[in-house]
Formats: sequence, structure tokens, C-alpha cells
Amino acid sequence: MPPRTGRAETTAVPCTWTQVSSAVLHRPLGSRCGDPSSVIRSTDKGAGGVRLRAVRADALRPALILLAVFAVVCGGLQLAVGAVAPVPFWIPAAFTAVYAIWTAAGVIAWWRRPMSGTGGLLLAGAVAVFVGGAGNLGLPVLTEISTVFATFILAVTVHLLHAFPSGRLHGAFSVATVATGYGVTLLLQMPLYLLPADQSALLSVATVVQSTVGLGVMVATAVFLIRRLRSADPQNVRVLLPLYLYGILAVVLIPVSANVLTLLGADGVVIGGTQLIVLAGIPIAFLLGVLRGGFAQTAEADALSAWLGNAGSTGASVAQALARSLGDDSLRVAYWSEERGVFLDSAGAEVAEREQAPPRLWQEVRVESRLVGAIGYDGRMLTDPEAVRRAGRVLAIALDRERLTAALVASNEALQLSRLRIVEAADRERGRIARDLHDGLQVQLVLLALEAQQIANSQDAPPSTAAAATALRSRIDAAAADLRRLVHAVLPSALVERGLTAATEDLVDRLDIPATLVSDVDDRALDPATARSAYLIVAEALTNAVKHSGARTVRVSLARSEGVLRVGVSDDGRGGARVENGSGLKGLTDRVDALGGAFELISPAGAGTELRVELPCAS
Amino acid sequence: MRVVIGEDEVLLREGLVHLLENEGIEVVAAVGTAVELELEVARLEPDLVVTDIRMPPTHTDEGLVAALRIRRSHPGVAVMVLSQHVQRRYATELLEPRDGGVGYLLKQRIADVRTFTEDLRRVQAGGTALDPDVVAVLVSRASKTRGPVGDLTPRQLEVLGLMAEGRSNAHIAARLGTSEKAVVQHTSKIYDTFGLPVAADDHRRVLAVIRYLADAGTAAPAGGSQ
Repeated sequence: MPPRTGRAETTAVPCTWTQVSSAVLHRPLGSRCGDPSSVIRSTDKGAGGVRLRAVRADALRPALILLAVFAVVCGGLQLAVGAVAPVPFWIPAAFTAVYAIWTAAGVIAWWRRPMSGTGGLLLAGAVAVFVGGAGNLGLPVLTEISTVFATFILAVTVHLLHAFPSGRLHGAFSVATVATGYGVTLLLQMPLYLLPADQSALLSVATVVQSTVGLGVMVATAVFLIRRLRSADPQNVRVLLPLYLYGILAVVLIPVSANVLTLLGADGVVIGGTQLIVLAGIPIAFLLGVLRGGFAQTAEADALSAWLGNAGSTGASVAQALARSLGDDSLRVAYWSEERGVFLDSAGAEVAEREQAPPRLWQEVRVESRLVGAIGYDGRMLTDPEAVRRAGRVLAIALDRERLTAALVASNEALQLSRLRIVEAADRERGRIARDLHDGLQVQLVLLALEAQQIANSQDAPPSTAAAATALRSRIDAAAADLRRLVHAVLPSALVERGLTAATEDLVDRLDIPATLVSDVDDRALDPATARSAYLIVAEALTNAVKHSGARTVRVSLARSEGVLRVGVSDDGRGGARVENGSGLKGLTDRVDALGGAFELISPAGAGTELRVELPCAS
Repeated sequence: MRVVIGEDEVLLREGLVHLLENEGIEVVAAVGTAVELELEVARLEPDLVVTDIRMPPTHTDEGLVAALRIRRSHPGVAVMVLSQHVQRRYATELLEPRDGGVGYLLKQRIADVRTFTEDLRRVQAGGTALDPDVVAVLVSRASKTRGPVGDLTPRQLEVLGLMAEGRSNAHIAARLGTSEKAVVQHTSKIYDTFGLPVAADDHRRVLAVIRYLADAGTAAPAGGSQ
């Protein structure tokens, strides 16, 4: 028969740290940890938002795959038609290659960063390149369309530059510039295909107007980008600067290169090839921008919340995870200090005012309308405040969990301390009673007996009085013996005078059944509180062995190592002992718990009882 | 006989002084701490020291420690240790430094003035006085083992106990209401059983018996599986 084991765990509260976190994030109802109502409320809100977003991201992926397949088919068609078209095959082939690069970059960017519009813009650019390439296939309709969209790709590139990395435009200046860009490439392009070919004067005027306005757009874009670079965080500049340089260069080079290269005497093949190569570089640059540094979304929001649930998420690590999740390396998390009335960073320093002023944006994080912290971020890097708010809700759960955990740990500690105080108070009381009896009553009984005997011994006492006095002395001695046993039970002399081993030895000596004691404990080095508890445990276990288990022999072991005192009491009795309410053993488990020790009772029926207790003791 | 008393309870100290002086024993000093006790012993070189175990400042075993030191450093000074509770460990420690001249009794034994002063005189004369309570522990512990103590008759156990207390044959005979001759028979039977050489000296036989009992108690317990 396998031994039945009863074990009292050392922790006083039934929930551990990890259980708390899983309760907050995964356990919706019936959690045993403290009062779960507030936890559950914030869980539902936060996790709900996260789940919504995860679903959206999940639906996006099949759509992107479908889109990619469609794009491949289109590319294949262009190649196939190009193969039979009356133009050199390299032209449609090169266009298709550039188109493929834009498409791939767009799909990858959208896939990796679903919340950003960059992927979509890159795909729009891919369409523009496709249409441009289709113009070379020798089909008149396609050629017309291609003429309409000939410079559209430049406007898309300008749009990309303004909107990177969020994919959304920020500020009226940007919107106006980009809109003008589209106007230049679509409206100011019109004269080129609407005017008859013989109106060369008008045509050149139209070209000059288009070039001038286009140049204005580029200057405005350059100004905008320089301003952004100047106010950007160094880690963002690292990624933004090369991207901006290449983007501006490309937009300026593509239209200008035709004239410059023609002047240099280059033929159409070189000009076209150069333009296509520069064009192919644009999506690559933006894709790298999206994937590099803080712009890549490497963690899904639900992954973030799971991470928050599992990690000991404090301070900087929370901010780091949020930054990674949202795609802004400059993101900071601040904590609201109730008593100081200010926001503090993870290091405990006050957050500067400018962190909360534009271009920085400040999203306050609340748990049930109570301000707990804030997320500071770059408004140009993250233009979707809803994403930040959602992240804020996840953060709120984390912060609230930290608060609840801290409260739980604190109350657990308070409970533990109060239990310890109860044990210590009980021990003090025992000590006081034992001392009072020892110093008071026991001495009195000695003196009383002495007096009685002196009466009995006095010369002038009649024999009857002497006999009565002697009998009185005997009875006082008997009372003293009773008192001695009582004092011994409350707090044995040996424990006070010497310590645990000496007291246990005396206990074992006076046992009615054969008993052995093995001890390597140095009584002088053991603190009195631990010694007292260990003694009471041994005394109770020995009483049980003699009274209830019918043991013939019993073994006691005391060992101390690495800050732990191990107490073992085993007998060869009938076993089947239980830790039940009201039993002496139950009181001992409470004591061991309060001291932060471990208690194990192994008592299979018919095979003896073994009690193992570990008590922490300062070394 | 010159005595130094160490006892921190004033009433009890006074009581002891009174009691001893009534019995014609000279109390040369009565102090309340172990440190004073050792100083007075060094200064006065008494015949006997009567001391409590628990005394200031720590109220643990400083009286016993002082008694053990006095036994080592002053071979001519007999020691009587009094305590509210007696235990085997202290008894064996007290017997260790040298043979005889030592007593270890419950404080309550003071009241039986005649026996107590008799014990004091015996200890002063180089004998031994062990409290019946601690002797009972020694005997019961030894009889729980598989050794020969368990084979003794109840009467032999009684004689053994009184021998271990340090009593003379005459005292044992008087106590048991039998003849000294009968006691001698019992004692030699006990010696035979234990395999001890017969000691002519009462003091030595006490020590031999106590050591035998103490050793027997540490043997494998009876009924055990070892």
C-alpha cells in the first residue's frame, strides 16, 4: 500500500505569484485569489480589445496571400504579353521585375506591420509600376492609361515619405504637400496626353508648370523631412535619415535624370534602365525601414499581453515590450504617483513636462477611472491613437496586476507576521508562566515544606504534631512534584538552561518506551524561538507515539544545515495518524506554517508514523 | 564544615543559611550570582559549595557551569547542586571531572532536613548524592535496553536505585526494613549481573553503578529492530 502523505505547504495564502498572473489574464471566474472582482472587470475590457485586434490581423493574412497570388498572375500576364509585344523583351521584363519588388515589399510590410499604411502605399506604387510597364506592351489602350499614370509613382513615393512609418499623414502641411504631389502627377499630367501633339508651345508650358510645382512639392517634402529628423529620437534618426535621403533623391532623380542623361549623350536604354533601378530601390528602402529598428512589429498585441502575464513585468521591460509591439522605439511608460501627484519613470524619476508636449503624445492609462500611468510616444511614429489606447489597456492590466500582487504580497506578509507574532506571544506567555512558577510557587513550596519539617523536628512539638507536620511536608513535596511536571510541560528547564538537544534528550530519557535521539544541533547556536517550536513538535509527536500509535520504539532526529532545522520523529506503531482539527498535530502545523516551515506526516495504516518538519533558522 | 551558598532567591538563600546553621554547619558566604560564588570559593576555600543552577544574569545554567569549574579547579571543595528539575545529562557532567564529592538534588529535598544534611555530609566526605528522580531516569532508561538491568528483580532494582543515590548499606537496609546482610546479598547479585568487580569503597561502587547505568542506557533499545 502506498504511503498516504499529508502535507502542509509553507505558503500561507493559497495562491502563488504565477497563479495570480494567470488569474488576472486567463482565469475569468471562480478565482480563489483574494477578491477577484476588480481583476476580472479589467481583464474583460483589456483582453477583449486585444482579441479583437488579433482577429483582424488573422483575417488579413489570407487576404494578403490571395493578393500576392493575384499579383503574381498579373506579373505573369505582363511577361507573357511582353514576350510577344513589338518591343525588346528586356523592357517588359524589367518593368515586371520592378513591379514584383514593389508588390513583394508591400505584402511583406503589410504582413509584418498590419496597423501601418506603408504596406498599402507600397502596393499602390506596385499598381503604378504595373500600369507604367503595361504602356510598353504595344497595346494602344494600355499606352494611353500608362501615360495618364506615368508620374503617379513619384506622388506615391512622396506620400510614403510623409507617411512613414505609420502610413498615415500627420498635419495639414503634410496632407497639402502630398495632395499637391498627386495633383502634379495626375492633373498637371493631363495636358501631356489631352493636348494635340502639334501644340508644342502649350505642351512645354504645361511641362514647365508641372516641373515647377513638382519641384515645390519636393522642397516642401524636404523641409518637412528635415524638421522631422531634427525632432526625432536618435534611434529613430538612425533609420529615418538614409530612407529620407534615398526617397528625395529618387523622386528628384527620376524625372531629372532623363534630361541630364540625354544631355550627357546616354541612349534610351541607359536612361530607362537607370530610372527603373532607382525606382526598384524605393520599396526596398521602405521595407528595410519597416523591418529595421523599432518600426517592425515583432510582437502581436495578444503576444504582448501573454508576455505581460508571464514575465515579472516591471518598469523598463514593460515599456520595451510596448515599444516593440507598437513600433516606436521612443515610447516611454510613466507611472502615476498618488502621493506625489506626478508621473514617474520606471527608475522612479519625475517625468519632464516636455515628454508630454507635442510632438510627443501622452496617453493616460486608467484602471476603472483611477489614473495609474501613461504612455508617452512620438505622435508622428504612431498616428493611430486607438492602437496606443489598446496598448494602454493591456498596460493597465499589467499595472493593476502589479498593484494587486504588491497588495497581496503585503497582506500575505502582514498575515504571516501576525501569525508569527501570535506564536511568539504564546511562547512568551509560556515562558512567563514557567518563570513565575519556577521563581514563585516552586520556591514557596520548598519553604513551606521546610517549615513543616522544622515544626516536626522541633524539640517541644508533641509526637502527634510532629507526625502531622511530617505528613504535611510529604504532601507539600507531592504537590511540588506535580508542579514540577506542570512546569516541565509548559517549558522544560533544560530548554531554558541549555537548549533543544538537552531538552529533547530529557524528554526521550523519561519516555515509557525505548527511544533513540540523534542530534547534530549545537544548542548554543540555535535561536530560542526555533528551539522551542522544535521541542514542542517533538514532545507532541512522542506523546502521540506513546498514547495513540502503540509504538514499541521511537526515533528522534534533529539536524541542522544551511539555515534549516530538520526534525524527524518516527515510530513503529500502527500508523494511520491524521492531522485533524483539534488534534495536537493540527496545532503544530499551524505553528510550522507561521514560522514558514514545512510539515510532513507519513502514516500509512499498519506501518508506523513518521513526522518530518523543517523549520527555518538563522545560520 | 564550612559552606558557601549560591542561590539567587533571597528567601530560599536565607532559609538554607538558617537550616544549615541550625544543623551546626558553618555558612561562610551566601551569594546570589555564579560569579560571586566562584570568587568566594577561591577566597574562602570552603569544604562544600551548595548552589542553584539558574542564576543571574542569564538565568540559564551558569550555576552548573560554575559548579563544574569549581570541581575541576578546587579538588578539595565538594559540590552540591540544587535545582527545580533534575536530568541525566547534568548528573553525568557533574560526575565526570573527578570521583565523588558531588551531589545533585531537587531543591524540594531540602525540606527533608535530616536526609539533606546527611547527603551534604556524605558529599563533603567524598561521597555522592544523586536525586532519586534522576536515578529513576537512569534505571528506567537502562532497563528499556536489552541489557541485564531488565533481568533484576523489583527488590534488586530498589537496592540498585538506592545504591545509585549514593546510600550506604546501612541506610539502604533501614530504608527497606531489612538487614544489612540481605542488602549485601542483593548488591553482590547486582554486581554479578552487571559483571562489575566488587568495590570495597561505598563511594566507588556508587560511581561504578551510575556509570554502568548511564552506559547501558545508550545501548540498543529492547524490542527495537536494530
